[in-house]
Amino acid sequence: MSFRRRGEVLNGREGSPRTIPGRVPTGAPRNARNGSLQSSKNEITHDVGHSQENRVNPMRRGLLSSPINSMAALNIGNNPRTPNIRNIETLDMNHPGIRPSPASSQQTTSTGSFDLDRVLGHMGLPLGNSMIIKEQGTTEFSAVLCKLFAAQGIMHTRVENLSSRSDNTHLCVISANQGFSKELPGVYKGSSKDIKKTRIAEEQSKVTVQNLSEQAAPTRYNDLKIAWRYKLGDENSSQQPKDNESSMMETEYKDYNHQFNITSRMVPAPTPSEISYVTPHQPTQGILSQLEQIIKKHDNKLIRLIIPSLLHPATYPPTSFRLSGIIPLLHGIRSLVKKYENRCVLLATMSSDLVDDFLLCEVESMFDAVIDLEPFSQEMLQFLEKAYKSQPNKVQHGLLHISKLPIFSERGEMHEMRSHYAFKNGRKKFAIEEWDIPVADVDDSDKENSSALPHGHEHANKGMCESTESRSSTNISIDF
Amino acid sequence: MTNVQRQDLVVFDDNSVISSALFSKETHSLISIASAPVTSPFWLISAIMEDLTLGVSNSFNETTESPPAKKYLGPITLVSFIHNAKYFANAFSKIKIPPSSYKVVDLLTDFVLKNSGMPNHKVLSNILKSIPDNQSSVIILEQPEILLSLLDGLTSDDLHRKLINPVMRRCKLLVVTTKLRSLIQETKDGIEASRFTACTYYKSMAILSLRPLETGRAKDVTGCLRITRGGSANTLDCQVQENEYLYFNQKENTRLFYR
Repeated sequence: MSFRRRGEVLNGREGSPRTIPGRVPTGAPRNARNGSLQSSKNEITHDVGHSQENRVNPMRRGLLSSPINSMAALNIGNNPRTPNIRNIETLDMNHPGIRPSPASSQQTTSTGSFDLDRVLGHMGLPLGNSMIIKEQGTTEFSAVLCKLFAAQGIMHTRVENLSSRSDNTHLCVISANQGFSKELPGVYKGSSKDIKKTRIAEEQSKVTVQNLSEQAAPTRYNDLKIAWRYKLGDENSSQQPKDNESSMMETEYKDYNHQFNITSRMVPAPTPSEISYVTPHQPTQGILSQLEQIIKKHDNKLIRLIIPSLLHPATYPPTSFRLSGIIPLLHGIRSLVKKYENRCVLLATMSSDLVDDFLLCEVESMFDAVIDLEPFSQEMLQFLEKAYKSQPNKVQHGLLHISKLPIFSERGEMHEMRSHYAFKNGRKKFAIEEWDIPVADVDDSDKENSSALPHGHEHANKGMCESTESRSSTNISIDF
Repeated sequence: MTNVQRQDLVVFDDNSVISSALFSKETHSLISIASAPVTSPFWLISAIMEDLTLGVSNSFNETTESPPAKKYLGPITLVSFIHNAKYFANAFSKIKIPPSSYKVVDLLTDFVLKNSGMPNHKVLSNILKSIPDNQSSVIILEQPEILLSLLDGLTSDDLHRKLINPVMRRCKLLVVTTKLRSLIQETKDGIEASRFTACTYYKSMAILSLRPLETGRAKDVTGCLRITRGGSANTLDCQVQENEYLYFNQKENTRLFYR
């Protein structure tokens, strides 16, 4: 039964397809993963020729074009300026670097650090949002995160995937340092043992007489096994239930996030087709128009805007340290990120010691997410090294404070968390974990001194020893 | 916190968020919303919008009866320097505010590109031109103090004289959101910003301030909403009901509790 009135134009004259509530229109491009529409009101065009091109694009991607859309393109309204077809300037549907946020369903891209993605609450930075990472002191931990963010974008471009096209991401760096691309870390390929195993596997995969004769038996049985229980253990461990997020990361979003080795370099280094530079040594208007040109030039690509070391005295002119120097620039960049919110994200890093509190507060207000890194002092590091004497990998390097989180803070939720997280920068991972004050281990030589400790401490140490003993006894019971 | 403690938001003594008495006389009123950087006031703007357009703030006011008739039928204009029109459209569509009931003046998109190199008075007059002149309207102005940073040499007094006062004269009710900051500043820029905030407080009939808890983050409380009288003389039939609430904002829902 139809409720369409006589004379009503098919598909209306507003260009929006008629839909059933709760359903996505058939012809409209949807994300393969969540089915969300990726079009915006701002992107309506009146150009008929252009609209026809857009009509063809879904066919190229192997999508069926809706007959309603086809009819809409032929629909001649009374007003020649009536927008019939939307200019869909959005990302590739199967972009490997995009996934819906588990918290808000908004399209999100990875920052290059799995833990930072998790801390942001969306498993990444939602598109159309900006983040600033401030750092106290003279360390360069924020630079590591900045490079991870950039490297992740390059990796998305280089993903070899049949369902998605390569060249899907473009980096835009606002910096005078043209060597930024040469400093990006390479992908972590596993430990030296893993690399050797990979090489062996590669050798074995080659078509040789020896390999072919060995292929008759499964590979795992060729490996030397000391005992049958290890095999059982392997099978059990593979059957262990994993948490939902990590299992999704491994299956559906396997190219979403990569692990990087910061001691290596990305080979080959990003090319000018993958990364653009905009120098801050020019008027604000010039920077903004240059940025917009880059964004427009790389349509249908995810644009990762990066501002490394914002307000660094070596890069920015002295006029930038005035409010009227830096805020117009950031306001303009925010405007661009919001204007192209379907395919733009921004990450900036800065040292918070270089500017006064008022300017810092004003700069922060221009960003949707604000993270503050507070590296530990030498005394604290020495204490941690002492406390984790037996587990040096556990020594954290500083505290991570959260002031604002994307989307959540904007809608009024309070997510300021001071001293809730600690970070440690490793060769293969920038780890962020919940911060708890460690209990110092007591050496044998110090045991005599421990009698002088208060009862509470003695008890705590005793408890630790007991737990260690019980753990070792548990291991024995499992093994034998 | 149980549901029993939950309270309705009341700003005026006639148990309303925006009293209809504000629209009865030939006056121009100003309400300030001051918020800390970590406690965004957007939910409060949404509540005011709901109250004006739907007659009741459905977001957190528990009403079992049918909603009252709309007390305000005039136009509403949102002027924002930090959000674009799409943001408001998305947010308000979720709470079923009809798009025809408000107009957004987007002063975020390309503002710097459009106004670069222009003298300050010209920029301010252009902004004024973009705001509709309707004596019975409500205007919500989001963070106008950002102009102090965007326009070189602009002072707080200039901003009030050339923007806030004329906008106030163009409408019946002006709602201004500002940043909550210390009124004691040391830098020149800081002094101008705090001066702007102080002047806004003096002109306001009500000040709604949002700040986080002094004790830090809590799992069941977002912050504190304090309603106080402003510095302007009140000649209306309604009075501001001073009060202090704790509020909890989670997943686009807000709950209020008396402190």
